[in-house]
Amino acid sequence: MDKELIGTACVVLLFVLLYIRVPIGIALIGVSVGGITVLTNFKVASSLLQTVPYTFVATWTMSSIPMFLFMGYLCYHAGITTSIFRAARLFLRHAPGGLAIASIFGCAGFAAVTGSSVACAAAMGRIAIPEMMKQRYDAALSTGTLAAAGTIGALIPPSILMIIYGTIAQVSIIKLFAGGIALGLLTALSYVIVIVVRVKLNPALAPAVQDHEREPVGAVLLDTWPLMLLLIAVFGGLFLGFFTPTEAGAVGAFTSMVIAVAKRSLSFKVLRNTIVETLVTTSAIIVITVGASLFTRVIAVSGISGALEALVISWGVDPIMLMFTIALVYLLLGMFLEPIGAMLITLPIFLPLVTLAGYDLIWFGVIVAKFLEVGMITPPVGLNVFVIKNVVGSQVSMTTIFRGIIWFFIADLVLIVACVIWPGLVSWTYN
Amino acid sequence: MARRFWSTVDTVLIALAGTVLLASILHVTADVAMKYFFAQPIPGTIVYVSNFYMTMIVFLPLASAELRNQHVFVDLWPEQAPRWLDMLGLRFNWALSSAIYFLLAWNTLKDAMRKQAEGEYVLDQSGLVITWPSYYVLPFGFVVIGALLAAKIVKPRLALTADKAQTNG
Amino acid sequence: KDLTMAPGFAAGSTVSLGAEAFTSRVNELTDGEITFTTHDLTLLSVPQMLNGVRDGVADVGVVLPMVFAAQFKESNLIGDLAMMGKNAAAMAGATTEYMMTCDLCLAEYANNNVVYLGSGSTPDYAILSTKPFTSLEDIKGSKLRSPNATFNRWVENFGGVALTLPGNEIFEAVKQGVVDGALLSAGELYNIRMIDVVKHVTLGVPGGTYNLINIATVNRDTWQGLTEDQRQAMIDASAHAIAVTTVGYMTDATKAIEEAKTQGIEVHEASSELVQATADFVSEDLAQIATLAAERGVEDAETKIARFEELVGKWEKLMEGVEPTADNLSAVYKSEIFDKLDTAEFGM
Ligand code: NA
Ligand code: NA
Repeated sequence: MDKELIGTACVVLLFVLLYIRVPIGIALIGVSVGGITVLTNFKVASSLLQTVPYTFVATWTMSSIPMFLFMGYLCYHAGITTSIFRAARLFLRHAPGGLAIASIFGCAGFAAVTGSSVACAAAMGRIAIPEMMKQRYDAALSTGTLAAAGTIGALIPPSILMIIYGTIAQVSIIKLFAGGIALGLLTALSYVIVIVVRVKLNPALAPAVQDHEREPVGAVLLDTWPLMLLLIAVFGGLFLGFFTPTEAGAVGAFTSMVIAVAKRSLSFKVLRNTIVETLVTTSAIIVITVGASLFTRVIAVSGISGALEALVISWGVDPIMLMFTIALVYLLLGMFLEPIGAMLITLPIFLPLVTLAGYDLIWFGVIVAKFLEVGMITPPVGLNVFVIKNVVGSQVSMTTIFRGIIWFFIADLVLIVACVIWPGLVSWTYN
Repeated sequence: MARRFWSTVDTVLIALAGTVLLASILHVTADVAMKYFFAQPIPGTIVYVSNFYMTMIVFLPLASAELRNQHVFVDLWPEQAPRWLDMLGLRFNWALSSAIYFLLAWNTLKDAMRKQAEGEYVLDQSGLVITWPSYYVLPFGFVVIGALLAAKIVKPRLALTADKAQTNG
Repeated sequence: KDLTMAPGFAAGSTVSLGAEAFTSRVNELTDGEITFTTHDLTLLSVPQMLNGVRDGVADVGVVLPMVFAAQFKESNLIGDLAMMGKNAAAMAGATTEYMMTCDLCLAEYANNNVVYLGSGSTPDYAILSTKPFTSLEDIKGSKLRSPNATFNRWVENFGGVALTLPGNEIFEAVKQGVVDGALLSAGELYNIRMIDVVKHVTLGVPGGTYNLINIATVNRDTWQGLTEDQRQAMIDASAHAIAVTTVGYMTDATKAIEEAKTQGIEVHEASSELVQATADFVSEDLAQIATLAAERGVEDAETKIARFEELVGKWEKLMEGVEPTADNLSAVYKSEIFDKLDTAEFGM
């Protein structure tokens, strides 16, 4: 049988399994085993099952994920984050959707300490969503905001994606990071606009924060010391060279424990809940990434990636047309694959084409990070959405979260179009 | 009976993996401090964190995540689907998941046994760190969740959380 | 016959160019009988490579034995002797000749159901750093990223602090001052963009190479399913491929150093005092390497070390005056090593 046909059949089967509620990790693993067996033989599938889960998980870089999750959950359970929302409430009380905007800023801040989008969404989601729920914010708006805002985590440096891109494309990672700051901030700005516009059009989405008693500004700001301390420890330590981005996760987790002890809020119950949530989320998310990593091989072996190449070459005569074709490919791949896998499959095909069309490879790297991050919030496999889903449990359905995403997704598309038309939006930072 | 059994399993898994999680935080922080203040890294930190801590943090709590209905799936399933179809679908999913976890368990067990026979180790600055025991964490974690899912086919309500299994979307 | 090649490194990297040289040469030498589909990074990653080629996930892959310490005890004794050489072309030749004439080494590959077809080498390690490292005093108290235990001992011997960092963290660690520098081959100025963060490059120390880059490691069942002519084609193609890889690394280093100079990075030569002290360290350290190898179960390590030392001497002479092009090196590798293999028996 034709290999590409088998690959396509795998994609279809994946859709069917997901529709009948097979857990995503299992669906990806199951389809990959079946697909690889048909494409090659069962021995190969079996070998990958033996090797991939261990080698994928037992790495130093992966270890920062549970660390950053732990930090986020502990900050929530030990009440370290409540203060930031009192401050946000104070300063943004007249802004429409003030708390949602505050979460965007929060994510942008967290982004400067974490290299991964998932960790950013989880950490801030745990902090911000319960606060917004308490203030009767619309469920789709609040969960969608956090899932989308998490993507800023991989745009603002440090960024694991950009380091990998720079290594593959042989371009300056520092310049990529500089471009990432611009695109990360533009992304944050575009999300703030989405929130303001939506809440202006429909004030019921985000009821104005009640401030019956005016709190003194000084006291409210003073109360944010635990979070400020954490930020200084992680941010400062990272940029002053005390530790590397991976180590930052552990140091941040440790510092948050120390702060919780100092605040006398580290009870056994708090620690237990933090640990349980960290473990359960880490386990659930990484099983999906292992599945996506196996599925990457189905796409590669079936030659679907080769077919994509032919498609791009046949369509992409004109540079702008080429870039939109590439964007479309990433949107399609981003539906199913995890970002590193999607990047590994596509860059060997795209880099030569993009160079030929006269694009700057640094600009392209920054844009690719954005493309891949859009995939983190698109159905059916949207890792950030799953993280937020884990945060809210049964309170909010996944469909609701994806509904909340739509507006941010549109903002992403607009921003991508803008960056393609005016590359200067990103490139001024490193030229 | 069955619920009590699985609740005990959960407690043990969480206690084990939780201890490792805390150990991992302390270990890396101590390594950072030792490097910075005493110019003396803790030997083997990267190997212990990657090979031992990470495998235990990720693969031990698989069943705990299942008991809390936290393994993520897409909820496009129609709410008005008849109850019998709903349960049939869930039982099919549990059977499929269980089969795949047992397949994973079998394969990773084969790999672990091979690694043990080879005496797998990593060479680090501290010299030789034996890593083969960490390979057994995977089949162990996979067998536990595989068994749990098989048990759910017979007795669907084993979840620890208040969520009903069929509405956990 | 369509076979699968898994380089495990990014397309365009030196290793991938070596893999590409192998596949296209095999295709040419077999008049198109054998074709290859290459999956650069998507099929198998470096730590997945041995199991993958063993089980036929890929027919040919780039295996780095140093990553599989327990499976390649004998081969890695030679990997540990990296500090013996400075000339990449000679080290690739000496390493490949040693392996091809070491029954215990070849047996390690057979035990893992793969066939060894030669090793490429990087040029000598330099210090890429944010401060100069030309004298003994410069190393004292400094933090340096080191690739393995042998280099750790070198750093510690001069009172420095050796840190292990995974490849993808070296850049950030140097940028943020977690380490003062990294022991890397100069080509990494390009490959991992060290050129963006370092201010100084010190050449001449610590020396030593990464000499176990097995470009074409073939699944044994695949190998045994080939005709003798096809196996001969693979053997010849591998001589070519390790030459391409080694020359590629040498050119990378030369180009990177030129580029670094134009970007205002200071390029130093280590002081003669430090070079001499390093040479003394290397010869004293051989006893330590032998002891460590013995602990891992390698018998009679001293004799093996002596034999390799002899081969390094032989190959440094052989390479004298040979202009390092892929064709020149591949001709020497062929006549000295690969032509002596018995194609009817080798790997069967
Ligand atoms: Na970031
Ligand atoms: Na997606």
